[in-house]
Amino acid sequence: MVGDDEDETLMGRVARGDQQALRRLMDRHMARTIRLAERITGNSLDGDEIAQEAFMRVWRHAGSFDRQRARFTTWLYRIAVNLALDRKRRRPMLPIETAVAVPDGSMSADEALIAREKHRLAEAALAQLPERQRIAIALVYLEGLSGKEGAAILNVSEKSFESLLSRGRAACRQFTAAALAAQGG
Amino acid sequence: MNKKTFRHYAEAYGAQIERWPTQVQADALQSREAPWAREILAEAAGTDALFGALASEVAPGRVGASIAAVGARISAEPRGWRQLWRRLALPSAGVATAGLLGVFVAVVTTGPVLSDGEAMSQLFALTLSLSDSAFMTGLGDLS
Repeated sequence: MVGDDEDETLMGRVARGDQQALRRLMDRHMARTIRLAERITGNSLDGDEIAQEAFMRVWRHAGSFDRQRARFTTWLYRIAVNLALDRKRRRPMLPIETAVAVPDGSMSADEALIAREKHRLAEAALAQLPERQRIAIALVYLEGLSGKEGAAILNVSEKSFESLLSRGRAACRQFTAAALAAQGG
Repeated sequence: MNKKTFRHYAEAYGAQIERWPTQVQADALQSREAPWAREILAEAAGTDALFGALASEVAPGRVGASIAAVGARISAEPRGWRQLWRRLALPSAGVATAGLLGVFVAVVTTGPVLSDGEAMSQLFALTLSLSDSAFMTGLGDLS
């Protein structure tokens, strides 16, 4: 049974010009879209702008969305990924400075320091990956999408997507091992 | 699931079998207690922890500002433009396509078009040849 509040049903309303339906979709998916775009471009301002542009395209092209072919999130993230890649080609990637993990309030100062160091190391490991490996890892591990959805967003087969994930994970593992060895830890 | 396949999925999707493709999860869950499977999952969990450190939240203020910005951009679009576009674009495209198709069919199914001069000269030649043949036929009758 199709729920009235399902993303794909809301898209049908958006296609008829219903701004409230678009608002509901933005409430649900804007944060994730910003985070994904920011992850690809390495720039928080770009992340905001790309997410906004992605939803403008959802609004303008809602009539071309086909729920039989893809889930709404797959369609949305594909738009966002393409916009982010396009923006990144025009501007060099900058290190993400604003996406620092917020220390848990219950952490001691030492624990917070360790958490920040882990975050910095993980960011560096991800940043050294080739673009498509980084996006694949962001989609699955940071945004919780399935391999099938990730493959559809990057327009590759599931096997190819799994290969991107495996190679990305292996490269991150090697990078952190080398970094820790260099620190003597 | 054999060890090679189990390792393939663990290396791609990590230690949480819930992340693996749904069609292989049941097989994977049956194998997960084997010593070799535990070893593979433990290794994958180390890399998962690295990505776990990256989890970050977008500040609610940023999300709200972006939603408001999209609303403002939609409101700033020419009033009624969207509805007008939807009403006119598809029918207009249909009429234009039908027109082009009609022209195409007409061009393909008819012969070459003659200029006025060419048409007159062909008509004259035809008339002349008819009158000549009538004249010759008459002469024939005289002889």
